[in-house]
Amino acid sequence: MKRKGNILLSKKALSEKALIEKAQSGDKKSLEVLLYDNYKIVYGYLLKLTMNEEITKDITQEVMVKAILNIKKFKGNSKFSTWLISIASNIYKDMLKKDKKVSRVDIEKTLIKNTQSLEDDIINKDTVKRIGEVLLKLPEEKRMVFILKNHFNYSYKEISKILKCPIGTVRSRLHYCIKKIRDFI
Amino acid sequence: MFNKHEKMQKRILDAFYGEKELTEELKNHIGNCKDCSAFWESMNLLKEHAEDEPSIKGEDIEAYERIIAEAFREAEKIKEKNKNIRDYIVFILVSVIFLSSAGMFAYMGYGKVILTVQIFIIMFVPILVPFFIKHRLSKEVE
Repeated sequence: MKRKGNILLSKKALSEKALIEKAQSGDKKSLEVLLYDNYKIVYGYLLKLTMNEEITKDITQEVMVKAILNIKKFKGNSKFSTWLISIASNIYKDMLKKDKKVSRVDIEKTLIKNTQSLEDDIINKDTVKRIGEVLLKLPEEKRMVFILKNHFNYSYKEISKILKCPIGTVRSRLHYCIKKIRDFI
Repeated sequence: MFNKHEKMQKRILDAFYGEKELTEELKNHIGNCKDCSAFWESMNLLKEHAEDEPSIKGEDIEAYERIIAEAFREAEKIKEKNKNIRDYIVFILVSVIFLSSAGMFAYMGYGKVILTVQIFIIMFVPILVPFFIKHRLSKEVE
């Protein structure tokens, strides 16, 4: 609890840029604050991507480890969260190359939204489940674009940087995803 | 006709996600074209349901610190392992250079000098050991 308090205090006192500078010069506490602040984004992105909590937890931890090891390589020309998302995407892609079965569907367990009525809840869960199922059937590079745009509102330029592909490709992949999901729904 | 819709839908896509402006021309097209109007609607539906899709549960938030602390421990292990590998490579390189130079000098007829240098090293290097240990310990404390 005391540590959480410290983290909150540091968060207020220092901007992201200052925290990055401190972390790069070896300040462990600043790096901890940065990772703590961005954990939710990375976890949420990976959970949407994998639809599996166990795999998400494993990859999230791997992302954190890579970020700790490579903090000095971060140039600061994007947001820290964007850098972490980029690491997460690369780790996920590598994982898929090694184990094609990594995308096991666990959608039912990951549904969390509580709606006002039971009827709404059923309709909502059914639609979300169907969207999730369609998404999982899409190739991962297209799915990544859709999640980054539709859920995290990253710009085409940012997505093209994260996934290392041209802006035109980002746009085409997004269009493809929406068309596919629409066909299924 | 198909191509026209395809192009229009890409423009609608840009406008929907705020990459480009939603022009009057596009608005009119969405209003008059059944297919593009359905495309716009499906994007709305997807955006709406984006918030309902899996995200972090309450108990996961409490696990942040544990996972981050674990990541720091894991990173320390990797750093240590990398350092050991680096040290090992340096040791091998220095040994190879040292031995090959000694061999070369011996071949050139400086065997006596090498022997003298070796005796000198054996006698005086142990004196430096406490200083090396002290230096290493102070580095570890940092």
